[in-house]
Amino acid sequence: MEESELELLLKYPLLACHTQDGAKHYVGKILFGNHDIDLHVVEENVRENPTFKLKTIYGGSIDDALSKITAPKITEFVDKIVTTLENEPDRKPPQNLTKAYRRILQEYSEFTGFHLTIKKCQISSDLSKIHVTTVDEGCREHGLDIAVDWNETAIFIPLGLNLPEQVTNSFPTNFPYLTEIYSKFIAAIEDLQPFFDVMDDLDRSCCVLDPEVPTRRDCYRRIWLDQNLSVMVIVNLANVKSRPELKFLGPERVVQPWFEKLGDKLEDWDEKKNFVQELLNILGLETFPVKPRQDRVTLMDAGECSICFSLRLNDKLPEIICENKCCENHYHVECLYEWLTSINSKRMFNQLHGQCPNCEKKIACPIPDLV
Amino acid sequence: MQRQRIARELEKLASAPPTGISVAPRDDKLNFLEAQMIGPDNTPYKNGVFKVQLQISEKYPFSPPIVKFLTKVYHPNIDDNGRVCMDLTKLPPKGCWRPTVGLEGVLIAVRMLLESPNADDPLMVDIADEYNNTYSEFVKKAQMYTEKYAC
Repeated sequence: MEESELELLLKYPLLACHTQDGAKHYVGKILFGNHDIDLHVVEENVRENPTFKLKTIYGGSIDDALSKITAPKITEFVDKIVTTLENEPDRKPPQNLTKAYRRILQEYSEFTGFHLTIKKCQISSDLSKIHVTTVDEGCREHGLDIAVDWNETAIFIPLGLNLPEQVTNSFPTNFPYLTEIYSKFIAAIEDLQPFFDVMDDLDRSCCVLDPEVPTRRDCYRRIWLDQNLSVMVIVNLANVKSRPELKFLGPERVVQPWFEKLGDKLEDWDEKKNFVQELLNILGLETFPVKPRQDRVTLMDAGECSICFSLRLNDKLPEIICENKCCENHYHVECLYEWLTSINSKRMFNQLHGQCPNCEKKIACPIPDLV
Repeated sequence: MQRQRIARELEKLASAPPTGISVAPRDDKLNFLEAQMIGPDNTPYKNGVFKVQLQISEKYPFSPPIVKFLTKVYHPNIDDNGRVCMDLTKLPPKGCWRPTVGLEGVLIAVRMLLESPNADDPLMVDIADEYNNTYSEFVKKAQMYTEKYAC
């Protein structure tokens, strides 16, 4: 073994040398900070004088500086590369996260073993997300998503808590320990038990219009009372059993009598009694009305005119169908004609040219008198 | 023809009302509708109930309904008389009303306007300036109006 090779082996043991197409290649890893980084150098012999060329590209302005390095020996050449890399202010050696990984895994295993209230617990394969499910006194499941931030020391960040805004606002944005975030979450859920009870009770006993799919975050329910009449019930989180804020929604003439009726009973609210029962009492109801099931969920039935929403107009069916395959809305000649004239569409011969009111693609309409 | 269409629209709105919106005719004649809107969350209008009137002309659905806020609102696109500046309720070529938009479309758009004001095309220039430059001041005043007039 040549002396220079031995020197290289001692100083940079992870570099291997091989000959390819008459040139010597040094390929492998060098230590930078506490991390191994790639290195590839080619040695060319020009008139007995070896010259070295760096093949690895590190990116950024550093590559320019590195390409100017010259040295008589390979060891010195590599030395210079390492110094240049170290002197570059923006280039910090890549972080070694082994410690952080070990810490989070250890904490995670202790955490799952310690808390008996955990129903399910998962950690993503890259250790960046944790999902915990717990069950409360009322057999309700609550999920908690936690993001793990690796910068410096691992910290735990709660993601999109499904709890009322007032509670989440007072939640710290990050926690140093996994146990701490979970305990805080459990404590919040325990505090909210009366609130969840009331909301569940409401959802069971009345017809809720809003929110469409109630979540644990929502402190209000819009309850169906009659066609065109509903009442917003906003529960007071600070004192769940107290009289909620009530707002009627509907035309004045319908709301007025309810409002007057309510005025007499407002003071009768008893915080010690059942919330839903008290709500029925002040609204003067025995039970909450059930919304009749004959809902119209679509505005139009198939084949009806998209302007007048009916099938027959003066005994005629909608004759014009938009040619756009994704639209294919139907129109009566009279309806489409009236729309196109009201926006001054172009007239050519005996047709009006304009856009389909639904998809805005080209549509033509004959002039009705000529049909 | 008009009655049939409005009746259909109201029927659908009553059985499946859009989030935070309720609407009903003021009387048997269908030319005035009364709507109520709950101020969207994450806005200074939160928890307020805003009365909105839709006036339906004889030419509906060929001409758009005229939208007017009956509740006072502090908003760049709503003036002191409750008039609302919105492309959707203007006829082309100025606006983009089409018969297929309908009452539900207009009502949802009005509530969207509460959620995200369009300060680049304001009706109330002062409020729009405030909205763009001193947002916290705008929020404070809008909240004050909401508490005073809409709660």
